[in-house]
Amino acid sequence: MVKSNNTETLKQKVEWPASDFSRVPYEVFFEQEFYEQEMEKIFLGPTWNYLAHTCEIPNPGDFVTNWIGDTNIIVNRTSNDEIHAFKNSCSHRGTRIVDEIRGNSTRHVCPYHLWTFDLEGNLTSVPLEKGLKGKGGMPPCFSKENHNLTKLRVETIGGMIFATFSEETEPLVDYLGPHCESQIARLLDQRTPKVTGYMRQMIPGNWKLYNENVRDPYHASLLHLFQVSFGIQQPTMKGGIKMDKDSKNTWNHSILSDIDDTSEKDLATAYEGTDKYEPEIKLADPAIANVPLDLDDGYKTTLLSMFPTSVLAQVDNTYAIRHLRPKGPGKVELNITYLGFEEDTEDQAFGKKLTANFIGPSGYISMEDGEALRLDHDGLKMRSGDYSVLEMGGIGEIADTDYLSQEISIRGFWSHYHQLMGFEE
Amino acid sequence: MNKIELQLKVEKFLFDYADCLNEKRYEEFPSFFKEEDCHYEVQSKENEDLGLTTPIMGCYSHGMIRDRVAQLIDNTLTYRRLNLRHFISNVRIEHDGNKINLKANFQVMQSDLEGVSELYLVGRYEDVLILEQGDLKFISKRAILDSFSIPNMLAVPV
Repeated sequence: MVKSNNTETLKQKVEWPASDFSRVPYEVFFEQEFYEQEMEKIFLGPTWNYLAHTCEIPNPGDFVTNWIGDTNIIVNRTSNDEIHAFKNSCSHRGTRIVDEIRGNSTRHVCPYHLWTFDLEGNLTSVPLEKGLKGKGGMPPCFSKENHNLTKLRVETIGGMIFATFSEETEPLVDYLGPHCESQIARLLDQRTPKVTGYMRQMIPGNWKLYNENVRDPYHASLLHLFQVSFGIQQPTMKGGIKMDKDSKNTWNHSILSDIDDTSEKDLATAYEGTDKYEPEIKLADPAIANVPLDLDDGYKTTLLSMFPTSVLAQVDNTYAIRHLRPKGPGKVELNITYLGFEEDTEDQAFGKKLTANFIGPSGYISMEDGEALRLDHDGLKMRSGDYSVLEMGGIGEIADTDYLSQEISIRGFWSHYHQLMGFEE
Repeated sequence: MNKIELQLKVEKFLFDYADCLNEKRYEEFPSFFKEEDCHYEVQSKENEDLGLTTPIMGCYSHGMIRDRVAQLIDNTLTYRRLNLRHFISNVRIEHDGNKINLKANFQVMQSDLEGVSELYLVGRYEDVLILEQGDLKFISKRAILDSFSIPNMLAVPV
């Protein structure tokens, strides 16, 4: 690979003045050079990236295409019921082979010269390989097995299919850590997931701003007034964050609690000095807020943020896999897969349609995140040589908390980013 | 009412609906829907074609339609102050008694506070209207988006 080691130039470009990552150089969000290095060191490096859920490709030949950073990937099921993933680029001249989002095919044929690949990504046929009437053809040294598609390692957990380009990436379950493992089991293994819809949102901000956003319960009750008014999440609500060994993956959760006089008073204190708290707002039709939780274990929200671009989220009674697809330093597509369960009754299925109004680009809870990221990206572009401030919840050691208003898990994200990007001495 | 008169009446109703949104008179938005048993949905073409039912916006009662615009009326949402303009065309109607099935195309342009305009959304309406005492109301309104990669957020109904 003709790639110079650009880490040195990145090191010269910015400093990380705080060893606890309570300061982040703004350049990492908007400089093209950082983006290019991320594509190589993170997305093609030792990370597991979400591709699809197994329920989307139930039959042999079923495929979907997805993105790992800037790289388009085909993931499919073979006739042996194995799942394989490979780069969607022909080994001949680089052409994109599959130009669909999803489908079924017994093989993948490049549209340009009809080079044909099996469902494991092996080259099986080259038209005119032996020439025509003794003339032409590929040279004798040409061997099809040297021209397979670029294959990725694949592992699944709870039906979530992850892939990695690197041979060095540790096994998926070790990479994700114990909290992800137990929460994925809680959310996806107890029942049989099925897709109930897709949603796409194009956010004009850097992909790492979204990673900060999902590791930031501090903002949740301040930016999103709706859930404050209706008791879905409040700054006074109980919950916390737990991280994996590298502090790259976060499990952030809040626990259902009754609103009483004390919590009303706590709320008024939390919002002192702002004009956001309006407890008198009520729903004209409260059906949406009264959908019972499927699981009776008390978790009102569960956000599993898995480095670098995957989130498994239970928000109220919605279940979704979110996946980030960076589109240059200033833009990221959020691709959401909504889940229901085969076991859902008609009432439960309708309940999930109602609570879908909480999430996504029009969600009462989440719609403002895109706007916050747009404003953040627009503002921080003016701050070369300066640093963002991450001190809420405490500085110093990056450790789990049993409270929600914190930015410690954001520092955890940056700690791992710093290491993967090669900033360490 | 003959067919041409009905067509013109339906088109005027759609244009009034668009004006209500373009002019940010959100408190009037629910009045375009019949009070009992009305639906409003925004759906992606992707989900529609796959037969998947999770909506982008889904309101299944008049109360839910009022709730959809409540935060816009209260001005408590953090969202970009844009001027939106709807263009509605290719309006086709079929009627059965006082029920009217409607299909139309729409395009919504967005213009920012510095006057820069771009395409925001494009798609189709598939609506059911009812004509009662000379007044039209939506029983069901569905906006199906070709542009289902939503630019940043969708706070305002389409």
